[in-house]
Amino acid sequence: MNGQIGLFVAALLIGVLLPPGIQHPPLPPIPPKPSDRLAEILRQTTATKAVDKTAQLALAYSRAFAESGEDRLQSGQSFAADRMAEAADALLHVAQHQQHLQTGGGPKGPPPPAPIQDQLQRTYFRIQQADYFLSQARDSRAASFPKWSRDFYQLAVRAYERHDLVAADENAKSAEDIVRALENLAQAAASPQGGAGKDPL
Amino acid sequence: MNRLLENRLVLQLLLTSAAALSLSAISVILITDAVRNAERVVLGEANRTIASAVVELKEQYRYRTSSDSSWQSLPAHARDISLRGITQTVLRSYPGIEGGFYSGSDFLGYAFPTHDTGSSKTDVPSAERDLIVLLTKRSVQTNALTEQVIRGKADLLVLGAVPTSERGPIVWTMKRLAGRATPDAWRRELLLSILAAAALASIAGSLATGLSLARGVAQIKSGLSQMERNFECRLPQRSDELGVISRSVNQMARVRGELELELRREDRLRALGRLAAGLAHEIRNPLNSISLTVQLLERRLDTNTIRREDLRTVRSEVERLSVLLNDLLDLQRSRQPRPELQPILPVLKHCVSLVEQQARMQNVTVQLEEASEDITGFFDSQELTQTIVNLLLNALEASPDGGLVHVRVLLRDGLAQVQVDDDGSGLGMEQQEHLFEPFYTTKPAGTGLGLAVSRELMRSQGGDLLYVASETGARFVVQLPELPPELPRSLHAELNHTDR
Repeated sequence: MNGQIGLFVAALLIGVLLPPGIQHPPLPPIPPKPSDRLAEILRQTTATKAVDKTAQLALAYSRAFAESGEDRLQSGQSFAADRMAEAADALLHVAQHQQHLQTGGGPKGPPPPAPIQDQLQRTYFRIQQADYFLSQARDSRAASFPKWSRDFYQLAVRAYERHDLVAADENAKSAEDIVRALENLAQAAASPQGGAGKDPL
Repeated sequence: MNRLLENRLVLQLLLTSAAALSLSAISVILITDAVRNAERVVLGEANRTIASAVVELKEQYRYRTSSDSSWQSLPAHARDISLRGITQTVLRSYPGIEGGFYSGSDFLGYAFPTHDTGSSKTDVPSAERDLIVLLTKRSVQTNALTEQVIRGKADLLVLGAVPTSERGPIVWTMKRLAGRATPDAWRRELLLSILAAAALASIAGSLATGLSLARGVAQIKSGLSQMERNFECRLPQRSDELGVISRSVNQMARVRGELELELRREDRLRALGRLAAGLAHEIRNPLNSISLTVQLLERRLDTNTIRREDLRTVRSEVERLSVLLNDLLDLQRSRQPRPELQPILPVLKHCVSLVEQQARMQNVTVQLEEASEDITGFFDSQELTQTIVNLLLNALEASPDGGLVHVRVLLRDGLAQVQVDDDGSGLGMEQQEHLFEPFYTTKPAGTGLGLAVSRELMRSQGGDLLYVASETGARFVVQLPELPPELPRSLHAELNHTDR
């Protein structure tokens, strides 16, 4: 809290002291507090409409990991709570990708084919890491995530083959988000217990 | 040339040894070159793989960090997890390669997914930590891919490193290769040493065999030469394969010696039998004659009609017996010959004069070739006279009416010889075989002792008497004895000069 006030005061002073006409770089966004972030995610999991069973499942997982994050936060593991929030956020994105599939694409619309190819390659690389992250996460709730991510990848490949670029893009992103969730769970599990003092956040 | 042919086996062995040495040397060189080339190929391949792995890790790192705005704010243990995920995935396609990231003083994201144990290895090898740190620092200095090959005690290490960005971590990878000090290299060097030792041993063995063989053959050759001169000599004993030959030859010589002894014994027995039969026959005839004459003299004593002729007959037969006994004594006499160096021709002239009367009566010419007046010999003149006269009388008897007996002296192989030829009918094979046996004769009035006595006379002083078959009649050769070694050297030289 004190750090945030300090940053604000410093920005104000720089803005007052610098002569007019000199352009300065924008200040980095101030990250929200973990508790706020977790609350926001929980709110979104309730607000987001589950368009199908997959989205429903993703929202359920997201909610569960957000609640775990709150538990960690209460036990003083702020970094682990932050990673849990990241994992919940990733799964929330999965539900949102399912929504985009229903609506015919995300806010940016269908991407061109070439970036989709690159994305599929990157996704393929990422899903290969899923098993390793699961082994490090040591969380039985995520046991099906590697297969889940591979299934999304297969859907993406098949969609690309039938030139359904929206489906290819959204499914590839879902696969990658699931791996991201696993990666964050693994990072949460690897954080030192009670290491709040060493936590960069 | 002959010497080369005699030592052909040794030369062949030497050539074989040289060929074996060359082959071994070439093999060692070729194997060493092949090993070095293979090492270069393996090293080149390892360098390419290391470079490829490093570049791929760098690319995946860039993608991973570019898609995560909070990456830089993550603590090391969280980045370690993410980076290990990358390393695990990338290096799974590079067997035998381990690697990770180095940031500040931390090793991050280390993984060795294809480690021999089957499970991924996640602890950085402590022995190579310093090497990796040094290499990453060099790569930062050059800001490019840096590779290094290090020959360790156990392994050949190939390392590669490249910075991900100006302030980012350094990607590094490492591959271990079987180097000179590995068990494979140790075994290879051992095998090469054994090969070289085997080659040297085979060469040494070939040379030893060749020399042993040559020495053995020389010993056998020398031994056989000695056996030619003295049949009592034997080949030296050897314990190798040539020893089998030596033993076989010695065994053969022993059996042959025994057979010769047996044959000589049988010959002596046969000769003794013939001698006894001949002696009995020669004594019985005069004794019969004397007995009959004495009976006649007894009858005539009664009638007082004894005739001088009868007494003469008795005396004649007694003289005949006396001659026979003298001849027998000559055959086995105890008189020592007294040879001396003297010209031969005068002795021959004397012999011819002794038989001249007989020759005239038989109308046979005795011709003495006088072209070799200065030839000298070492002989007993009395015994040579007796021998030559005997031969001349035989020749006269064998010669036809108007025939020719030819006598000459000559040098053959440094020794004097006397040849007596006649132009009679010669001798048949059977006669030649028994010619010198006592009491063997083809003449009705002969005793069969002349030639036997003559040969004995010549042999007793070191010479010999031989019969040589001739197309025109018979030829007897009297070989005079060799000069004794105690004669002055000057005399030897003079005689040799005469010989030439």
